[in-house]
Amino acid sequence: MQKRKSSFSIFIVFFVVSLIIFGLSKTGIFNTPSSLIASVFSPVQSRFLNFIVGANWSSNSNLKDENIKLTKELSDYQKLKEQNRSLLDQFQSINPKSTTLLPANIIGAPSFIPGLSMPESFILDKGSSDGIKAGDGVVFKDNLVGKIGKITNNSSEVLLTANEKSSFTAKTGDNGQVLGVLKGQGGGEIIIDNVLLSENIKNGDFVFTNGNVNLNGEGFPPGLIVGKIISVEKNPSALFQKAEVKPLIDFTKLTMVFIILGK
Amino acid sequence: MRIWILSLILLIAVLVEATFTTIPLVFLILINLLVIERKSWVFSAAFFSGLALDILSIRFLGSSSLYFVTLLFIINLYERRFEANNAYFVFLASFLGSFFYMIVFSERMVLQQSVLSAFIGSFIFYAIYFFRFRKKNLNYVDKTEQKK
Repeated sequence: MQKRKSSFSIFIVFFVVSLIIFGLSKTGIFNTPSSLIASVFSPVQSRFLNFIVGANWSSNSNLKDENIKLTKELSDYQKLKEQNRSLLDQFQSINPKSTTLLPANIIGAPSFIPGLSMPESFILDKGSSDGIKAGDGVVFKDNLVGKIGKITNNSSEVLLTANEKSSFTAKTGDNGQVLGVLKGQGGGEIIIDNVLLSENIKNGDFVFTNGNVNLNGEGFPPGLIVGKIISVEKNPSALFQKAEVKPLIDFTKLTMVFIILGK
Repeated sequence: MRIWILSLILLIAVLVEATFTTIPLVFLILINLLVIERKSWVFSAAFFSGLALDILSIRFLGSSSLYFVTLLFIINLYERRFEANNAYFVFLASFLGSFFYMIVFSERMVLQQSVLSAFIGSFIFYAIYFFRFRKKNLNYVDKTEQKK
């Protein structure tokens, strides 16, 4: 009977302490000490993740070919941009000036079970002390990876494009002018929705970000590659058509990404 | 010595769970420790490992500890009531504990992961039981041979 009483009292003590800590943590009072502890373990996490997942980006020849083709298309796009710039000279450019890229190591992928599920978020070893803010875009070689969600002093969480909470405007089509809304569906699936029925989109069209940078330079600049359309769903009786988008990069093999810093 | 080994095992489980999986390994180990050891120090292990998990997973500090301590207390009540320190009880406790854990922390594929967690929990039970009580069984055999 005494044993039961002592375990109950121990439970009450830890329950109350946990509750107090949980309540206080919402105020941000524990950010600094927990960030310090997390920074001690982040190199270990990074090496552990590298050991488990491995880095096969350089050995994938199909992606290399795709990358070369996309680089050419992007350079054509850049030429068109230059031509347009001469026409826009008397108008103030609305493009953001957020061009600083901060490299960050992926130290965790909490929702990822190799062979069973796709990652929906990453934990990076950079945080608010490195100038990162919630909403900053994250890229890898001109491919959009996601955006910064939760953030602490020395670490941050990236919500990948396939995450259910991910939603932003994008453009696709032959001329890259067809607008739609890119939505993560979870489980590694992405769709582009709200595309007008009158627009022509087909399998193989590349999807780019339309740009949603705010006044502070946070967000995605336009022209980042999101993926490629692999199937189109067009119902004449519906208002819009939608398509499934497949990213060009394998998120399961990523070990490093780049954060687009705002002003 | 045993405390250091248990601390190391829990630390490794925290690192694995925070780095690349959503299977609640820490919680499964704690359930087994509670069922096999039946000591109240498991609550303190749950509290501190929960804090470590929250720090590395960028969750609100104390959320995992709160869950671990509460569920372990409930499991402890049932375990004491039915004197059930066997693999079947661990299987059921692991399944239900993991199921609610994943709902609370908004994970995907809840049912599949809960089933997997239940099997992993039972495996951990057999592993701990084997290493913990193997030496005692051997001693018993030696003594009976000596009597002969």
